[in-house]
This record gives sequence, structure tokens and C-alpha cells, in this order.
Amino acid sequence: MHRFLIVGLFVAATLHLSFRHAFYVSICQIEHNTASSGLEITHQFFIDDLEKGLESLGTGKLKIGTTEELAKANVYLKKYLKKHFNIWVDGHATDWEFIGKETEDDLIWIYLEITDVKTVQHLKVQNSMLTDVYDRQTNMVHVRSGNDQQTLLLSKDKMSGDLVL
Amino acid sequence: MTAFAAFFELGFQHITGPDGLDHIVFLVVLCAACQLWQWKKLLVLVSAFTVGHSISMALALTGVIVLKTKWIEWLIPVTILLTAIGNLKWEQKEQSKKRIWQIFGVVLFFGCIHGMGFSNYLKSLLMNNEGLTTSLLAFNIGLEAGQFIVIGVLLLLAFLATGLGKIPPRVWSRILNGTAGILAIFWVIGKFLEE
Repeated sequence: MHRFLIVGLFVAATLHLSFRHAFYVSICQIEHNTASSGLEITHQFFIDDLEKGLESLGTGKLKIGTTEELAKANVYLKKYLKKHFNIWVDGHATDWEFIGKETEDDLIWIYLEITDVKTVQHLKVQNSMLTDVYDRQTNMVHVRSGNDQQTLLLSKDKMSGDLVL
Repeated sequence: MTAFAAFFELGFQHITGPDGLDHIVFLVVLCAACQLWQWKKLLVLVSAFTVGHSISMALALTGVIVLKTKWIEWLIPVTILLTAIGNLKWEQKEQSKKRIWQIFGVVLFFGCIHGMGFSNYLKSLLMNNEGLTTSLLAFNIGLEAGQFIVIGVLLLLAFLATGLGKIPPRVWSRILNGTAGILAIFWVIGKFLEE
């Protein structure tokens, strides 16, 4: 019985140390607005996770969403987004425009827009946000165009996905 | 894929992956409460857990019950610890029908606590609670499918250990309850010490 107890203790200690209750997820919603001929994009992140990602650019603490937020926060944010979030419409690379960001409690929403998109048949989305800091990061991407709605689950192993709308 | 398929996949991954370890360990002690031939009892316990976490997930997501994340994460290992202690204490007792229903009630309540944990995760997958009903349903079905696999693996291990490995069932059950209990003590203390 003592043997079992020692093994049990060892297994328990190992599992205890390897377990962290953390959720590494982000959500991205892309909506094709036919009236304004644009793709409207909203990202949702946990602020602390996003800051970790931005720190990989050598930013130091940005204090996003607080009164002490650094003036350069948006510059770094755009830089990081450019590296990890890109969209191809019908095979053509696009350039999104940074509209703004909002924070509430531990969440941040980032708004982007791609103008001059009258029709979309084929959409390629690269969203590797935070996969460089968290191996288990999952980025959920919802795309809506008219009545059609599709979802992509992107991660370190699958950083981009294609959709036929 | 559809949003439904995505939430199903995330539910399945959550309970079968490293993030769901505390829920898996609870399933371990549920299985350890039964011998291999007591499949009816296991079915009752698993149903109680499922009903419990489904109800509380819906209630927590719609804001009917609100409990601090810290408390939920502390209570989850408490459910594991109490179940493991109960298993070890009453392992020799013959169980009457009435007792089974008492156990059903307790496991249902424990399931409610785990459900609040699940809902915390699901909340982080939603933007402004959009598509709440569909995602809740798909995520929960994914959880059940994953739970089914976890229990299947546990039963297979029990069969290998007690059947082929010739470990007496009572010893096997003590190993599971003991290990899970010790782990739960680590978690209970660890969560309590976290500010």
C-alpha cells in the first residue's frame, strides 16, 4: 500500500504543477456590409493576454485600458495586428484600417475595416494572434455575409483558413 | 464550419484536453465509486453530473446565478475531495435504493458547481452573448461526447488493471481515490492561497 501512496503522491504533485486554469481564446467577427461595401471586423481579447503578445515586440508594460495607457499603445497594437491578422478577398491581399478600440473590465475590442469590398466569394483569413505567446491559443473567427455565416477555428497549427461564401 | 460545429469541437476539446483536467479528475472519482459490473450505478452518477452541469451552465450564462470565478475554481476540487473521501469511507457498504438517490442528489449538486466552471470558459468564447442558445447547446453536446470518451478510457483502464493486471478491484479503486484526493487537496490549498 505504501508503494501506491508514494506513486499516487508523485502523480498528484506532477498533475497539480502542470495544471493552470486559463483560457487562451480570442474571438473575431467579420461582417460584410453590402450597403457600405466594406468588411467590418471586431476582435475580442483578454487585455492581459494581448499585452503579453504586444510585449513580444519589446514594448514594456503598455497599461492598455487604464488612464496610464502609453501613447504608443495603438502604434504597437497596429504593428502586432499587421503581423498576425491579414485578409485576402478573392485572392487579393487587402489592407485593413484601424478604426479604434474599447475596453471593459478585462476585455478589449478592436475595430478594423476594409473598404471597397462590393462582393466576396472567397475569403482567406490569417489570424495567428497570440499563438507566438501561448501554444494553446485558439482564435475563433466568425464570418457573416448576408444570411451566410461560417466559423473558423485557428491556432498555432492552423494559422489561416479559407471560406467560400 | 458552422458555429455549431465550432462550439461542439471546443466543448469536446475542453473536457478531453489539459484545460479540463479538474473535470476529468472528477470523472475519475465518479468511476472509482463503482465496480466494473455496477454499470447501472455509474449510469446514475454520470447522469446526475450531466443534468447538474447542464442546468447550472444555462443559469450561469443567463446571469441567474452569479458566483465569483475564484470560488468556483476552489469548489471544483472540493467536490473531487469529498467524493474521494466518500468513496473510501463507504467502499464496503452495501447500497440501498434510497442511498443511491441520496448520492444522485449530491452528485447533481457537484455537477452544478462544475457547470459554473464550464460556463466561465464558454463565456470567454462569446462576444456580447451573441448566439448564446446555439453555442450553449453545441458546447454542452461537445462536452457530453468528450465525457463519454473519458469514461470509456477510464473503464478500459479499470478493465486492464483489474482484469489483466490482476490488481484487486478494491485496491484499484483506492489508488484512484487516493491519487485524486491528494491532487484535490493540492488544488484546494493552492486556490485558497492564491489571492
